[in-house]
Amino acid sequence: MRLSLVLFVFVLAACKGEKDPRLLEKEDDIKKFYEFQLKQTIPENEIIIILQNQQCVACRRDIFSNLYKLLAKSHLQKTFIMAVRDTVLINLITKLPNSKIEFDTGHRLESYGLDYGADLCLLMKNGRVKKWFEISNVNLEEMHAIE
Amino acid sequence: MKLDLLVLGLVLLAFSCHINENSNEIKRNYPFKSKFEDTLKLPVKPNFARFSYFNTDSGEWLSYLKGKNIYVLDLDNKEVVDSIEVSLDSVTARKYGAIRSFCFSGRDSLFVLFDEAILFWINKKIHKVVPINELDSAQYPTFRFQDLEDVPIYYDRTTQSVVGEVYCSVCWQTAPDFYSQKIIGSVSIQSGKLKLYNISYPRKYLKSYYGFDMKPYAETDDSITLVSFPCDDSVSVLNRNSNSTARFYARSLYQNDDAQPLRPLSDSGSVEQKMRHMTVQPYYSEIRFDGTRQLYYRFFRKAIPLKNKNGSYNSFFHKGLVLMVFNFQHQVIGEYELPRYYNSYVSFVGKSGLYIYDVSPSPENKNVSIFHILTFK
Repeated sequence: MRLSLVLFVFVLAACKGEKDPRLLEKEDDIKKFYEFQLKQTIPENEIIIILQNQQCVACRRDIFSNLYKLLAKSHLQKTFIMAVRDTVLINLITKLPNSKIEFDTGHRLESYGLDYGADLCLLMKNGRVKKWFEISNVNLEEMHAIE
Repeated sequence: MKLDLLVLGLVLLAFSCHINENSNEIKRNYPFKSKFEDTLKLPVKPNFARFSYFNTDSGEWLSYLKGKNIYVLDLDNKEVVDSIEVSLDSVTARKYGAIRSFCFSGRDSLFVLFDEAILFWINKKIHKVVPINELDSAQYPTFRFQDLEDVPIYYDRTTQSVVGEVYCSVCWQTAPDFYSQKIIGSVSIQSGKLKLYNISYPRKYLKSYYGFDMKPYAETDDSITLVSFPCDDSVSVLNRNSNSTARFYARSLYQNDDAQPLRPLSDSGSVEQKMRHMTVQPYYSEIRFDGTRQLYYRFFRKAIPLKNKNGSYNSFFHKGLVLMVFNFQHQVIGEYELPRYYNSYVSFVGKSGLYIYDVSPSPENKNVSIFHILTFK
């Protein structure tokens, strides 16, 4: 009986500590991308924005504009990972405080599960992915801040 | 006990060998003599996002949209021989929207489908404008006439109408309503009247949601429109004269499992989850019609795992491509694995056979377009 109780407590504790598997997967993917492609350690506290879907920058101008407003509110460092050297986006990003750009011109994001058509935003806290979301007008409309 | 396990193992091994032998036998039994392959090199490199093949008594033509023009390429002489400016002034362009599809009927007649109108050019001059969709809301109250990508328009000379895709514009794609609507229609060039045909999605799409694996692929020729759906084993054949649809079984031998719906349904809002689902599920894409040889061609993309053993991810592009060939009695008479650089989206049937565009990133192909021509005899 005692053993069962101990086991039950263990199971309960394990369940409580378990993170969203998709969040863990995304954390693993972005860490590997930083380690093997960018040859950098993953930033401790930062916002990472992956802009891969750059076939139609004009179509996504509104989305980017909304994202830009949210990012401007944050004091965290921002890293943009872009597949294409788009001068319009680059000019905008360079005006954003605490921001830098990494390029993925070899389209290696795909191999790390970070390029399935949607732009992504990942919030890093203490070296872990605290949250992530696909960048879309629907998602951004509900947000008042990234953090 | 050990002996029992050994016997059981041997039985299972023999059974699995037996299955393999059978499946090979099925492949060997195809009544095909041979598949021949040739290549065509063209001195241009457009992206072929919008293209159309047509032939006339004087030759074969491949046309493509690039910038403000539709260019016409002579396939026999391998040179661009004509261009038609299809740009509109800014006010009209705002009114009619973007170009979604186009087709020729002879060298002089060009039909272009915009978001809100069909424009008919004769000898490079606009001859007729047929308002559609929001510009004719009485005829289009809950649906739109538009090529969402893989149902290019076709001009039917007999009925003098443009045939194309129709979809419900007020339905959620996650709800059965979207899939119970008609999907093929035609617009009369003379009267602008829309006709809807008796063809809609297969039943499985009404029962479950398949994410991005729902867009129809179609090809129209004369009075027949062939429609293939990504998750459907069968092909639908619409006879527009009788306004009736028949279906024939067209499952690939390379499909091991049935296509699964996207689950949970809450993933319907995620582009990433829908793209991942599209990557891992078996997927039927383009369908082509070869009237000269009396063959149908159907492209199939195999199911693959999301991740490889080394941890790298796969994408839709990594799916193995298979070409299925059917005779007019709807029997499969061959299945061929094709290199993944063969782009089935840019494929068409010409006088020499089935043309498939090669997208391999070879430096030699930087300024030229390579097509593989497959012929079955």
